[in-house]
Formats: sequence, structure tokens, C-alpha cells
Amino acid sequence: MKPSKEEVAELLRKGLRIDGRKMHDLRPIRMEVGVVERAEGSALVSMGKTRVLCVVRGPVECVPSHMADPERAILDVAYRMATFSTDERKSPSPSRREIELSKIIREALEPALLLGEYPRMMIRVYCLVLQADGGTRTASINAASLALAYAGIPMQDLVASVAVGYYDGKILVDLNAAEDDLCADIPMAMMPAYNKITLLQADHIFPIDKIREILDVGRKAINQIYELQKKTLKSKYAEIAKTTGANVGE
Amino acid sequence: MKGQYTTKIVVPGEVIAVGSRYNVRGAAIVKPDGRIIATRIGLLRMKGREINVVPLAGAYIPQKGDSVIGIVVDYSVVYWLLEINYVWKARLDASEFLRRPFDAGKERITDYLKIGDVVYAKIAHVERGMPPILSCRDKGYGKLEGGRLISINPVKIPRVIGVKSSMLDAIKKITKAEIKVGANGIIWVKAERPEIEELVEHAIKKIERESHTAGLTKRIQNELMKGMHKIQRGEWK
Amino acid sequence: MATEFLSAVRREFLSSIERQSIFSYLQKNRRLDGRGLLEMRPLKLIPNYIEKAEGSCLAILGKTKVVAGVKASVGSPYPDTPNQGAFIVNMETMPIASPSFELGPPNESGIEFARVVDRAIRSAEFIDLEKLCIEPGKSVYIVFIDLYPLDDNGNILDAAFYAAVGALLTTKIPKAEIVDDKPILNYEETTPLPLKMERLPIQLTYAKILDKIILDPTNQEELIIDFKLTVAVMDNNVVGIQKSGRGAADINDILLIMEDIKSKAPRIKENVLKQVRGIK
Repeated sequence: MKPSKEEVAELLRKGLRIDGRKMHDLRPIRMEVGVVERAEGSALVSMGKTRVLCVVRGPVECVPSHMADPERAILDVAYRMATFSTDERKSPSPSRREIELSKIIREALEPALLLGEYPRMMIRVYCLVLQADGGTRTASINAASLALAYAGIPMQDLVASVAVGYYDGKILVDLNAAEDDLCADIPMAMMPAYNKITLLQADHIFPIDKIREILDVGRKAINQIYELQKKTLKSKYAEIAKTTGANVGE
Repeated sequence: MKGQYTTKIVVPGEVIAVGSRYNVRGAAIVKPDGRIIATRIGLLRMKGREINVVPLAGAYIPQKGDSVIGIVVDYSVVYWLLEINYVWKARLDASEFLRRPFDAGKERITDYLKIGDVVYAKIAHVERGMPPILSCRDKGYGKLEGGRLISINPVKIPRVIGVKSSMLDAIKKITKAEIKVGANGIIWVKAERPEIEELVEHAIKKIERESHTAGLTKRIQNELMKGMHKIQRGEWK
Repeated sequence: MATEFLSAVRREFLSSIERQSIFSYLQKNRRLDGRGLLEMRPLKLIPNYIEKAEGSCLAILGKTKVVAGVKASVGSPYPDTPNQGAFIVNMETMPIASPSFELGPPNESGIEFARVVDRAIRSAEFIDLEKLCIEPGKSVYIVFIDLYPLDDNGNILDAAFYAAVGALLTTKIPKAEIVDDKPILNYEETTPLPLKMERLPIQLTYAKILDKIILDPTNQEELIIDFKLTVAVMDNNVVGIQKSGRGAADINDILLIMEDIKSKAPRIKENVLKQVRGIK
């Protein structure tokens, strides 16, 4: 079922990908907002087989209270994987990886939020990975941005994210699980309106001189995701306008 | 204002305009490079130099002078704590409710309001990041009894009221119901018959769903009149 | 966006006016959402919701959503049942479905719900545990059923139950092969999880408010009920009962509930099989 590293490597050396995509193609993406009634904001994002549900609660009271900041809200993010999201059942207790990713995702989102509007309060973001096939942190960031916007949390921009890969001199975009095992995995997140990077990580190995090209390829893919995020948010409201036969405006 | 309005839905990060000649209100910020950027999902209303982004989503943040509907959830010797759909509970002092000094030695706070009671009050004082203080001194405020409560997204409340109260007045006129609207997204309705209260709830939910569309007041008036006829003929629901 | 009751998103209690609204509807044998007292909300089941899992199902009961995922692994049998496989039902209560869930291990509700769902499936003997034996006394399949509530609009327990049953009905277990004296799971070859279809249980949760028994409470109703009674049946047998809540039940309440579930179970069973397996 899962392709072997050798299979993936052989194809990449020929400039091909295991699922037939071109090097800079994104996987099929689906985005939906407002999927959980009992949350102020929610979004379900699928990138290929990776699927993440994100729920935003807030603003709420800051707990524990000694953590409260008199000038701005505290952003609290929890990233968790469902037990059935991986090939082997994952234990429900949080792993070190989940704790690191919770912090990384929080720091990817924070620059976009106008937390000064909610002093002494807290914004809670919960990302649950329902199915994992590479890029779960990037899908989580994409979903969290949508959920935060849907909840009406003030933001100076949405944050869009994708994992860029490097292998055998080639740069590829939106790695699935088999690819991120093999390639240098470089997850990126940006606030596209300001051309600013809010998440950047890398593992394995790649030549220093390739960094500019890698960031450029990542930026282009991120812009595509960003357009889709905006479309998803707007069409949620347009849907309602259509059913009444009325145009937006008065 | 005469002339053409541009209206459209905007999302956070969207650039509305560039330049310093604009008068910006609502959910938007002006960046050092002159770009005017939306900060929430909202309805952009733009005409000439006026830019206003009316948010379509967001939590209730109390402002001084807001009228709110709250539920008593706790109390102490001289005050009650009310849930008002905010991060913290709001405090209502007994003296502010009774409009006279409260003698803790002789009176018991629960004689006047109990857990679960519903109160229409004004935000007397509030600071960002702290529990608000309420008052019922003004006429028309105090305990609410009977009727029903409706909860909607607080950002839609202005639409329920309408420009110069046009929507709210229309609803009251057609249904003859008593209605109190809380800025915190809670509305109290009391009418002659529960069917009429249901009809008003139905209309308010419709306003909430279609708040950003045109011709809403007319559609609501039609729905209400049709509903009232059905009720009078005994055909409601 | 739209919420039904006073900050339904956050709130955990009702005002006296809201209570009174529910009561006056009940006096007329109606509920706020227009249902009859003993009417269930529509149940929608989406089988195979998580492809990677051995089995899965998203259950949507009204607006309440629970997802169940099944994973199979190999382990040693319990000493007292050396020739039987095992299954474990677990519920995680992440603060996704409700503001009252906290991050961390499941709270007492999560644990109770998992155990109630487990009991119904176990007592009905729905899973053919004997067929899950690989090497008698040495290795068996261990089937994990993990439940994740995603949206709490009342009666998570029943939504979880149907998600679990739906997931089991879609489960395909990988073939076990003995390699070097050790059992290995071959995911390329799968077989449907051995189930005794005629033993499929049906579960319903009832509650009492004032003097009325209602079926399938919403989260607002859950705030003012006296007690809940969850019953699971299989054919004409009871395979699980759980009373919960502070109030005390009358014998007549229990009899009424048993009569009702007896009459409803066959049609619900049909609905479940139709949605998950396309069986008419």
C-alpha cells in the first residue's frame, strides 16, 4: 500500500512523482468552514489524503490566570493526531512531536493576529489530524487561518502554508508522506499580503545556494492556497446571498 | 448620502485601497505603506473617500452604554454576577438594580434576583480586559419575565434594529410584540400568543442569515404579515 | 454563526425564561426543534470517512457529530480467553466538540460513554471474537475502536454508538501471516471484520424532563433533564442499560422506554445497514 522510499526516489530522479503530479503541483485541496456548530470558528481542510479539522474558541478567559497578558490576548494552540490517522495506531497521549508542532503552528499564526484587541483574554486553537499523509502541520495552519477568520478574530492577513521538498537537485511542492520521508522537507508559511514568512523549518540536507529558489517555489504555491482560502470564506457568505436572489449591498 | 455605494464581502488581508485621502471606519487598518487592509470577514461599504468595513463575524465586546440582556449565574452579599455572552461575567450591584441603597444587614440579595433570572441592563462601566459593571437605573431596564429569548450572532444586532430603528419598528408594528434587544446578541420577545413569539424568532433568524443582502426589510415585512395572517386563521405551524 | 440558544456555543446553563419555553412546549408534547417527544433526529452515516483506517464512520445525529476509526493490530490473547481476539473502545474528549471538554485524557463522560458503547457491542456478541484468533493461545487480532466527538449538540453517546457500529461494518482487517514464527499483518490482503450480522445491536438514549420522557435530547435539553436512560437492544433482548444523571427514575418510565425502543429498533437497524452497506 505505502510506496517504498526506493520507488519514490527512482521516480524523482526521472523528474516524476509517485502520484503523477508535476513537481510544482499541489495535491487536490478541499476547504470548508463552519463545520462545527458549537465552536466560534471551524474549518476542515484536505490536502490530498491529509485531512485536518480545526476549531477556534475565543476570545475566552485566560486559564491559568497568571498567564494573562494585560496588553494582548494569549494564543493557545494544540495540535493532536487522532489514533486512527496514521498507518499504525497512534497512542492518544500527546507525543513530543505533537507538542513541538503545537508551538510551531502557534508561532506561524501569531504574527497575523491583532491580539492587542483582546487584552487579558485567550484565543484557543485546536487542530485534530483525522488522516495523515504528509503536510499535517501545513494543513493545520491553513485550517487554523480559516477558522480564526470565520470566528471573526481580527487578523492583518490570512496565513497560508505548504511543504517544499528537495531531492536530487529537484524542488517539489506539497509532499505526501512517502515523499517527506525521502526528501529534505521544508515546511513554510507566509502572510502573502506582506510577503512575510511566519514558519520555516527544514530537515535532511540541501545545498545552501538553493534556498532562494526553494523559497520562491514555496511562495508561488502558498499564493495558490491563499486564493483558495479567500474563495472559501467568501463563498460561504455568497451562498446565502444567492438563495435569496439578492445581491450583496443595499 | 446620495450616490453609488460599492459593496462587497472582504476577508482579512484583502487590500481595499491605497492612499491617505480615505476616511476609514470599521474592521480595517491602514498600513505604513498606505495600503488599507480588511481585518475581519465583513461587508465593505465604499463611496468616494469613505471606507467602512462592517464585520460579519466576531465576539461581543461590551461598550459603555450598551443595552444587554444577561442571566444571573452567581451572587455575593451585595451584587449579582450575570452571564452576558462575554469572556467575563458582568457585575450588577444590588443598589444599581433597586435604584436605592441596599442594606445588607436587613435585606437578602436573593429576594430580588435569583440564579437563572433574566435582566435587561446597561453597561455602566467597562475597561478592556476586565469584567463590566451593569446598571438598571434607567427606565425600561430591570428583570424580564415571561416571553422567550432568542440568541443570534452579536454582529447582526444592528441589522435587527435597522437604520433609525426601521427594522425593529416594523417588527413591533406588525406583531404588536414587546421586544428588547441586547447588543450582546440576545433578544427578548413577549407577545400575545406563543405563535407570534415563534414568528418573531423565525424572522430574526432570517435577518441573521441574510443580513448582508439587499431588500431585507421588505422581505421580513412580507414574511411577518404572511405569518400573522396564518396565525389569525389558526394555520401557523 | 447561527446559534439556537443563549450563546449555545459557550454556555452550560439555561435562564428561567428558556427553561419555561422548553416546559411550555413539553406540556403540548412538543420540543423546541419541532420534534415529537419520542422522535429521534435524522441519523446520517458516512462510512469509510477515514481511508487510512481499517474501518471508519462519521455519524451525524441532528447536528451532533462523532467520528469512529478502527485500527487492528496483533497481540496476545487475554489468559482466560486464549482463542479469542479482543476489542477496546476508547473515546477522546478533545475541546473540539464542546467548550466543556478539556485538553488531556478523557473526562469521566468520555470514559463512561466509551464503556457503554463497548458493553452494548460486547454483550450482543456482534464481533465474532473466535474468528479473530490467529494462533490459539499465542496471538490474536486486537481491534481498537476510537471515538472522537466533533460537535456536541446533544446525545453524543448515541452518535458515538452508531459511529462505532458503522465503523465496524466497514472494517477490513489485514491478513495475518506467520513469518519467522511471528505474526505479521499484510495490509495488501484484507478481509472484512468477522461480524455476526444478526446480532447488530441498536442503542437509544432517553431522558426525563418534568413528567415527560423524551428521546434523543439536544444539548439545551440535556441541561435541564432529571436523568438519562440509555438502552441497547438486539432482537428481543436487552444488551445494555445505563442510567445517568442526578434524578431518580420511576418504574413506569423504564417500561415506557423499553416499549418504545422495542418498536423502533428494527427500522433503525434497517437504516443503519442501508446507509453503511447499501443493504435494502
